[in-house]
Parts: sequence; C-alpha cells; structure tokens
Amino acid sequence: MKRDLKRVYKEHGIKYFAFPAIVLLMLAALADQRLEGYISNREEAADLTTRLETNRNILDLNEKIKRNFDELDPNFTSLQQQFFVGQDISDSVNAMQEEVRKMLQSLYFDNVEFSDYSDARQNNVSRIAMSVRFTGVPQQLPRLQKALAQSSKMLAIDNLEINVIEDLQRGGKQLAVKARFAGMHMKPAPDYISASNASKTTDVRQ
Amino acid sequence: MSATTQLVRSAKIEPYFMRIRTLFAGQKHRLVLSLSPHSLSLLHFQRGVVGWKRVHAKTLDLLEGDEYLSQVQNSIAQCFLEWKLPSGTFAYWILAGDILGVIPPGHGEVSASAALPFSASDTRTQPDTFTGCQPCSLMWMHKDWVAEIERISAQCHLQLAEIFSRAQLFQNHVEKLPGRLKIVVEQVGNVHFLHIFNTGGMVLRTRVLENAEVTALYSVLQAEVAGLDSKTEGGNTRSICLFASAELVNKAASWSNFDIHSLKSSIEDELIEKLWRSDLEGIVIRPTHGTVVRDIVLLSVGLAVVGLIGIGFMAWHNEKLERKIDEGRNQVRKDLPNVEAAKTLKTRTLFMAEAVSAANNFREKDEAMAAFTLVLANFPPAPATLIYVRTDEKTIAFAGLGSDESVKWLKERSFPGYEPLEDWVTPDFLESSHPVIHFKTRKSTPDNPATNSAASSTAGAASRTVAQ
Repeated sequence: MKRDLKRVYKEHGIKYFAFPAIVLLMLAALADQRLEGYISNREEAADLTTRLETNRNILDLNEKIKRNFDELDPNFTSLQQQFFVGQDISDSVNAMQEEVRKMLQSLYFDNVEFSDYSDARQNNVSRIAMSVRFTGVPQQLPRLQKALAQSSKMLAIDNLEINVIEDLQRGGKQLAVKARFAGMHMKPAPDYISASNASKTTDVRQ
Repeated sequence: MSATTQLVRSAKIEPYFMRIRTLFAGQKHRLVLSLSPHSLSLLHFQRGVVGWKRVHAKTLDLLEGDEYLSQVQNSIAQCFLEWKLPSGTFAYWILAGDILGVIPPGHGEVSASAALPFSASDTRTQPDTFTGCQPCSLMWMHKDWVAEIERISAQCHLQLAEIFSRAQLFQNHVEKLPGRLKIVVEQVGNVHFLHIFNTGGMVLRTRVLENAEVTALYSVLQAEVAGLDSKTEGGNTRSICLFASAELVNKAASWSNFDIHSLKSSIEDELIEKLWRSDLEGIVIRPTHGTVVRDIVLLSVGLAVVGLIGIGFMAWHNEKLERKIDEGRNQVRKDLPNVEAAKTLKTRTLFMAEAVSAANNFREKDEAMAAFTLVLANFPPAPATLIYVRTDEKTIAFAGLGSDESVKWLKERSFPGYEPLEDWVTPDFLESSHPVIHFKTRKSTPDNPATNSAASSTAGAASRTVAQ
C-alpha cells in the first residue's frame, strides 16, 4: 500500500527497497563467475546431439545404400563408357561432334555441317543434342543406323528429315538429310572413399 | 447470545497453534470501519496475488443512546464471525468530527497544538500534511476515545492500526478544484457533515451539523468562514467553492458569496476504499509498515534462495553439459571416417542412379530412325518412289511419287504402333514434284493401340524403294 511504502521510505530511506536489487545484482555476479560458457555449452551440446543423430541416420542408411550401389555398379560401369564425360558440358558437346563427324565420314556421307547445339539440363547428367546436315545415297542410311547401334558412345537421332534432291555433281538423285543427333553428357563420377582412407584423410587434416 | 459473547467464547476455545496460524492469516486481511452517529460501514479487504481486493462490505444502522458503543461492538463482532476474519486483523477507523476534530493552523508563531481544548498529554494528534506546507492543521482525538476505540477493536480480536478523519474522504477530490476555501456538506441518512478545506486541500474544519444548522446553512457557513478568516489569512469570500446536494442549496434564498457545485452522490464505500488505498495519513496507533519491511526482506530472501538454487542447478547442469560435449566430440571423431565414407558412397550411388535412369530414358526416345525404317518397310513397290520423309519421336510424315494403286496399296496397310494414315498437306517445296503419295501418322496412345500387325522393320528393306 502506498501509505506503508511512504512510511518505510520516510523511516529507512531506500535501504529496504534496494534489497531485492542488491540480491539480484549479487546473483548476477555469482552467475557470471560460476556459469561461464553455460549458454555456449548448451548450444554446443544441442549441436552435437543433432550432429550425432544425423551421423547415426547416415550410418543406419548406409547398408541400404550399399545394396543399391552393388546393384547399380555393374550397369553403371558399362554405361560410363557410353557417356561423353567432361567437367564442362562444352567439352562433351565438342567430343560428341567429333564422334558424329567421324561416324558420318566413315560412312562416306558428304557435306557434313553442324548447327544448333543444345543441352537439356545442367546437372550431373545431361542430354546434349546438335543438328547435322549431310548428303548421301539411300544405301548409306541402314549403315548409319547400324553404326549408331554399334557406336561406343550412346548416340541417337531425335528428328530425321530426308529429302530427295538432284545430285548436280554426279547427276541423278541423292538424299539431303537433316538429323538431330543426341548423346549423353556426364560429369566425372565422384570418387568413393572407403572408411580406412577417410580415416587417413581425417588424420592428415588433424 | 450476542455476537460479542460468541466471539469471546470462540477465542477461549481456540487452541494456541491456531492462534499462531490466524495471526499470520491476519496479515492478509484488513477491516476498514467508518463510524457516524447513525451508521457504521465496514469494508473487508483481502490480499490476493494481484494485490488487495475488497471481499465484503456492509453498512449497519445505529441508534443513539447509552447502548451506542455496545451496538458498534456487536455489529463489528457480527461481521467478524460472518466474514470469518482471522484474529489480529488490522482495523482502520474513519471517524466524524464529533470524535476526531481538526484545529486549523494559527497565525504566525501560534501553533495549532496550542489551540487544543485539552492538554497535549490527554490527546492523540496528527498534523495534516496533505499539502506539505507549514503551518498545517492538526487532527486530534481525546485519549479516552482512542482507548474506547482500542477496546472495541480488541474485544473483536482486531488490532487498531490507524484512525482517519471523515474529512479526509474528500481531500483528494477537492484538491484540484479552484477556490480559496472549499466547503463540502455531505449527507449520510439524516446526518449532515461539514468539511472545510483550504486551497491546497488541507482540512481546516470538520464537524457534524445539527438539524437546526442544516436549515440555516447559509448563515452557518458564513459564520464558519468568518471564524476561519479571523484565524487564518482573510480574503475574498467570492472564491469559496461549496459542494452540497441540490436539496440543501435550494433551502437558502441566495448564495451570492459562494460558487455552488453540486456534490455528486458518491457511494460512501467507494470513498472509504479510495481513502484506505491512498497515502493519506491519520492518527497512527499501531504502524503497519513493518509488514512491508518484512515482505521486502522475505522477497529478497526468496529471490536469493530461488536464485541460488537456480545457479546451483545451472552449475550442475553445466558440468553435465561439459561431460556430454566431451563424449559427443569423441563419438563424432570416432564416427567421422565411417560417416565420410557413407557420404561419398551415397553421393556416388545417387550419381550412378541418375546416370542409369537418364540412359534408360535416352533409349526410350530413340525412335526417329526406327520410324524411318518402318516407312521404308511399308512403302509400296515400284513404280512408287519415296521423295520425302520426316520422322521424330512421335510422328511420321512422308511424300512420294506413284500411281493410284500405290495410294490404295498404302491405305490398305497399317504402320505397327501408329494410328491409321491420314492425308498430309505437303509443304511448298514439294509442290513442284506433284507427289501423289502424301501421308502422315502419329504414334498410337496406350489406350488406343494401333493395329499391331507384324512389325517387320528390317534394315534391308531400305534399299528396296528409296529413289529407285
């Protein structure tokens, strides 16, 4: 009550009113002295708990991943050779162009011209494509199909346009072919580091 | 059996430890009593979590006469039992001018105490420090009255704490209003009280008006003001504010020297509560601020205890955390090679899965060349000649030279996996060749499979018809 507070102040000054504040200050000083790093310890302990839990989840899932790895590995090993591998997609586009050019020339197609390069995505694995114009005779086309099927790289034709035109040089008719060739680009596959190697790496880092 | 007798009996049978308990419980209760000649108002306050709260209020009528004080005591005892008040509850009394008088401050060296009607040793006094200015008026009460009030309180198991003047009910109200003097004439039942305050709100006079005085109120007030002016500084009577009920004001023909204000009929209980809650001081019999000191000390000790327990707990927890951090770091270090290996395995496996999936998808779309061979395999024999083919993943369009038989031959056939052939409007560059054969088709959807006759797409068929 106001009256009593007034009388306490009149009689004792601020002495009693300062008591709680003094107690709080002393508690704060004691806490500061005794609880150094308490908050940071709490945060670190929480972080560590989260990290351990994440690690446990990773290790729990590892067996399943290992099984998937074993299933995919033979298929992937054979596939790896059929992809154009490069850190940059332009390297793969150039390699594919050379591969297609070599193939067409080996089948005696003439007037080979490349244009309209593209890639579908920029992920680890991307589909790359390019348009190619060339001329030839009908008998060469089955050979092209066979060559595509036997190619060491994965190649296909997305669009094909064949027009019969006059052969001005040799006389008679010839085929003007416009084909959109597609291939697969892949970034270099990440290495798998075994636990023993990882341990060595960690030791070196430490 | 009277309430007082009941109270006395209950006190006799109350065990000792109960008295101790009720003494502490008494600190949580306060009783405020306002006594006037014909009534007694009682207000009971109880301290809760958020402060003091009024829990009971009652006004009882009293009859004047020899039994007056015993009526007062019985009324209090009755409320005490009814409200189950603990023994030792502090009581605050508000008394009218007939018991607690006020002496206005004198001129110059003459102090108010010199004007006491009894010797100083026979009275209890308290300066009215409301305005904070000197000299101040003096509230006084004869010791016999104090003893009587103390006796009544004690008989009712109450501790008399403080006695206020009834005029103090209005001090805060009149303080802010203009006027050299402020006069309040209040009415409770058929009793009228007169309170006169100076400009700052200090009480100069308070008394109970006789019935005859109420009738001649104007002249009584003029006499009171004249009396006060002779004792204090005289002045212009025009700046006197009078607060009274309209009924009283109408009794006089003229109030030329007063500024009349209607006195709002405030509920007496509200005024009593406001006075009790305010910082106004009465005649102190038993100071209660010791409880505040005790509460502050208890609060401080409580804070210290809770704080120390909290700090102790946190210190213990801190040590536990440090151990946990050490163990956690060791575990993380131990797991690190396996986790790193698992992460690289996961990254590589996901990469492999993406590559295998993309390769499967790639193969599914490899249809353009197959479609071309399909056209060749199904093209009519010579003299029909294929002059244009366009294929992609889903559609086939082709044009050729030939006869009506060739067209008929084609229409009778179907392309496996494709819809029936439709007429195709040839592009301009083919117009000059006048193609008789011009068809298109699209891949049949799974719901509408086209005629799946023998799909004999053989590469050898290519050489059969093209540009023969």
